[in-house]
Amino acid sequence: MKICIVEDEEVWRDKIKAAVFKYCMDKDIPARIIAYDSGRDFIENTDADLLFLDIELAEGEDGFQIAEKIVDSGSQCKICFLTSHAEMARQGYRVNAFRYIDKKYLEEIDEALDSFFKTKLQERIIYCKDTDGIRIKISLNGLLLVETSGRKLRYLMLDGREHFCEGRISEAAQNLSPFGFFQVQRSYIVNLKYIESADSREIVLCNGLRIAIGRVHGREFKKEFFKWRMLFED
Amino acid sequence: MIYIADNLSNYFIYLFIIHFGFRLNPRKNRIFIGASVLIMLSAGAYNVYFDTNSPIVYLLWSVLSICLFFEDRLWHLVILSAALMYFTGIVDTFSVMLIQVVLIGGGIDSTAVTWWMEPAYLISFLVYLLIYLRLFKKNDVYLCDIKFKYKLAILIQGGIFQIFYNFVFYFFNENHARYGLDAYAVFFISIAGALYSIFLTLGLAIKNILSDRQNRELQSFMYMQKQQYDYQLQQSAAVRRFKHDLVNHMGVLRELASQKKTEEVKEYIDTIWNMQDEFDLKIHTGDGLLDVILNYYFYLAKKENINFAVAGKLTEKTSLEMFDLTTLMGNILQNAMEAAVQAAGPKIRVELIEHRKEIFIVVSNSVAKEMNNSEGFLRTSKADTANHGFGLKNIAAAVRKYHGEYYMESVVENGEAMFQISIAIPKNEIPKENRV
Repeated sequence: MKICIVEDEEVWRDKIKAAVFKYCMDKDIPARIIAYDSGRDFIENTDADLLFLDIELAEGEDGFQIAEKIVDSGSQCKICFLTSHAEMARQGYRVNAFRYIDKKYLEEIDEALDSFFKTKLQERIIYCKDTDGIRIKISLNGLLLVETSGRKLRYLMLDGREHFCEGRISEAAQNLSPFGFFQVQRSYIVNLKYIESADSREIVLCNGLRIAIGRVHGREFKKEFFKWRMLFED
Repeated sequence: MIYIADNLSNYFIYLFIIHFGFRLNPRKNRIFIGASVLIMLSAGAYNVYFDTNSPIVYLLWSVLSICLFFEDRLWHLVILSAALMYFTGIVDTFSVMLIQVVLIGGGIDSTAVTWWMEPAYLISFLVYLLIYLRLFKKNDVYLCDIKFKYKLAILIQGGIFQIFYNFVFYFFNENHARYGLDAYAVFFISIAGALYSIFLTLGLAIKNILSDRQNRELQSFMYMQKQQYDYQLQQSAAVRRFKHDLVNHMGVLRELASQKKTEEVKEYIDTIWNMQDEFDLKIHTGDGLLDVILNYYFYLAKKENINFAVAGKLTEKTSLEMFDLTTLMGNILQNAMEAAVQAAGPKIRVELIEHRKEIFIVVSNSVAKEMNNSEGFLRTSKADTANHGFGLKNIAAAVRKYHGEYYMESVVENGEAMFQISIAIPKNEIPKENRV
């Protein structure tokens, strides 16, 4: 995990770095924290996972412009803007960032980090035995759905690969449910992340597959899908 | 067999009316439901065996089966089933008369149940279905919302019609040879009219509820507007007072400066600075209207020593119109305040999360002790039961209007019981120029 800070004023830079460092220490999260004093230095390598970015930087640099550049470069980096009250009231909030953090209330950083690490929920790998008894790795991030196929489970990945594994769908549903998966009916578990659209009767996955929602699961699905949408940008 | 078919049809009609009209849900326990069906069938079997249609047996099975089938207070179910039995009886009589007039020309003189009467249930069912679709579902008002006096009025209205038509029908049966087709047509039309008038009465009762509902929404909106207006007035009075004092402050500062008391000057400026800071809007969300509402409740919360925090910003205004935003946020925050003051460490947190397609608003507040999430508890948790519950209905109505979703739940955060309401509103549901 790489977390960057771009802030021209040394006092704030140190304070923010300390706050992020403390959070990662407390939660035992391995992270590299790098602080820059200008956007120019940062933009050289934008591979950060999370960026705390001041809006009004020295030498006329504008945080919003830097943010736009980062987004345009196709970076997956989430941006938390650092603001001071008076300035924001004047400008409005122009870019839809991950968070706007008021420098007066740096404790908001903890909340932002909490939410940020929640979005990393699916960055993990599960193992299961395939039909030949070989242990295979499945990255939850790339797992589209799990479906019963005869007496086996078919794990369909986003890139079209599929794995056939032993196991029961109810157990799989139980194991996967904390990570944004939901059993929409008797024979399907889907990754909530890859739902394109949903109504009360069926869901459409991003590959165009339509799956009917089981009658008993309808209400619960709606709620889970709601929670998921709230936590994660589509 | 006819008796069993008769009971079955009645049974299904009861289930339909109570479930869809009164919005009661079947019991979860399958044994109860099984027993309910069994009682209905055995009453049919009893009637078949003794070839009788005893009103007592009829009353017994219908009340018992309904009480066993649905989940509600027992006395309520007993009254409901008895009244329903009477009312469906009236409508069935009308339906039977309609069939009799059309098919047989009014020539049958018997009180026994016969096969040709069975389609009457179909007619009755169509009447109920029509009422359900055209009145209840369309207006989102159901029999359970209608005041008791209206329900009683409909029952009495039906009863009066029934007595009247029984006499007329009796007369027709006796003398049907003397009348031509036109008399039957008139009779047919007048019975259909009786059914229609029941339909209309129900429609009026529903209109009444709808206008009540709207009234209440308007009232709550006006109340909140007035509160906020008072707050603004108070603020502007404070600003004017401050402006008035500014001359004095300047005088003091000049005096201090001329005496070269820089420390005192600094201190004095700090004091004035803090004073003017009071007039600022403390919360900036990116939506001016939301700011006004949130700042007002921030001010109220501060008065009650409630910790009030807002997290998150919006890059564009919410798609809600002023009226709806005030109703929605006003009701939520009002409820949150009322619940939070009873907690040991009162706090309210508002989170705004903006995504590409939707805006999420999450309001959490501390509560006295862990709350039960059942609806019943939400209704009764307040001393002011008369006015509570409407807030939730207004919230629900506003969210529904914008095709949003909302969920309420109790959560435990750091060992503290919190009540949380989460709302999702799709962005730009309504064109921006409509925004007040």
